[in-house]
Amino acid sequence: MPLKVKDLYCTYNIGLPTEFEALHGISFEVERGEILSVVGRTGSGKSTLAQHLNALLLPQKGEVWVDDLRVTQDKAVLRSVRRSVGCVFQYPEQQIFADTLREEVAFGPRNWGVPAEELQARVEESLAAVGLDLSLLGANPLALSGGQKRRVAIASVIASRPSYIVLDEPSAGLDASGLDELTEILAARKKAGVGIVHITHDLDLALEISDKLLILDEGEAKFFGTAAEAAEQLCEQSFSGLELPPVLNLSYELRKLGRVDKLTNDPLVLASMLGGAR
Amino acid sequence: MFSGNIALGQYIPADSFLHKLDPRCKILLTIAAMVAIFMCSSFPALLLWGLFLPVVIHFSKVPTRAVLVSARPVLVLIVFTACLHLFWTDGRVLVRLGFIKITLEGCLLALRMSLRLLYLVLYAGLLTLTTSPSEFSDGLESLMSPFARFGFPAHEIAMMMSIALRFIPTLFEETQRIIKSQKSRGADFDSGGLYKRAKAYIPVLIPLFVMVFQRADTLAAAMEARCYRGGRGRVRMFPLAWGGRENLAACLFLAFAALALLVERVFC
Repeated sequence: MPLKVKDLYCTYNIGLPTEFEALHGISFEVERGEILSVVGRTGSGKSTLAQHLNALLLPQKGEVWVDDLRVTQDKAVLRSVRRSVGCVFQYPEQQIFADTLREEVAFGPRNWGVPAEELQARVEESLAAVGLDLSLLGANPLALSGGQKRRVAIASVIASRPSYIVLDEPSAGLDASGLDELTEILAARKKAGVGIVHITHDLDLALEISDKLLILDEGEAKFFGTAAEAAEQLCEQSFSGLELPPVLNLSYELRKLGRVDKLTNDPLVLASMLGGAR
Repeated sequence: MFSGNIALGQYIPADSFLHKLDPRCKILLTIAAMVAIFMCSSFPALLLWGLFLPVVIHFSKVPTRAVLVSARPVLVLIVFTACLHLFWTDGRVLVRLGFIKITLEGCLLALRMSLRLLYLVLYAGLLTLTTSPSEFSDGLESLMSPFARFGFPAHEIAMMMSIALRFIPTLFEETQRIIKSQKSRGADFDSGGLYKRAKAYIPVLIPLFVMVFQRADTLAAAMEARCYRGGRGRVRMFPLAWGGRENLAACLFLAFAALALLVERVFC
């Protein structure tokens, strides 16, 4: 029962001079326990796609299926879809409003009708999942550091226990350690059986953590397949706005010279392959 | 503020006669149009203003739909005003339902006021649709500059208006983003009574205010970093110029307004 998108189209500002097609016939699917990265340059339709997965935008043409539920205008369907698919927006720390961390993280579960006695457990579980200390429960989330705020925002989505999580550019504005923490959080969610749609323009990160990749350009799906197939495709064909990660590029050149026999984006794997060759 | 579409302050770029007009000319003519519309109360004169609108839209090259959408935010006000006139005007009674009565005079007055308000909003909408925020503030500053010698802060007011106009679409986008973000966490903005709905917007308003203050700080710092010290000594990259096009537009408009007022005089 995957999260499935079939032949999805979306056009903004229909009938105005500013009309433009953001999505053109997109199809893909992601299973629970899988990470799908959607990559593409700015304006390629990534965020529009993210909003369709959470039923914040409804399909003008095409279909979005969450497990066995097709996204329609029906209020009950919308609520069910939004409960199943959590969405972490770009700069999610800007959605923070509550006085305490406890209230902020409990906002989602409370809206979904989780009983009061279960709330505390959910809040604690989510904070632990993002590596935040429970001593911060009573702290003002607006007074936390940027990285901590980002983790609070992710925890507030995890607390609703969604089957899928869509993250729109979660690495934007994070430093190297923040990026490592994010990678760990995503890996842990994947292990917990949550399907993840990771929207990014960071090809390096996408290749590192994903099972599947979808490459978007001007609203069209230029590629959909496994991460290994994507690495192969990226080396053979250039995609506008996407720069080949240096390690992958190096391994591609070395493979052409016959020094290594497969592509990799992991510097340690490449080093060991070269060591073996020597 | 939270409606699905907002046209206030939204400029639609195009290569048209109206877009090329000096903003001062457009502002003055819009004010003149508003005064003239309120001077008209007869239906033939109001009909003339209605017929003039498609002509102006044609010269603006702005889609008619965009102009009509610009009236949407004030539609409630127009309906409210119409209802007030419809039910609270004395005269020949057409329908009576208990204490509610609808009179012929009430119907006519409601229609007249609605048309006036609608025209007012549509003509004003055309001004903002064809004038970019920077042109608009330049035009205002220039029009207010004679008062500067009496200590009136013309430049500062124009700058404040320009910043406010510039940030309307940005704030609207940010609001939409926060609403979507909270909706995805199960927030419900569409059901319940007025109190419940108003309360549901707290998780939107708090992050919005935080963001507005942060943006204001950043903007002030960015302006200071570029040595902004108010209007004194500032020069323009593109000085405003009143030429033949503006004279032609003013003459055509005045001729039409005179015709409308003449019709008003005949039929009133």
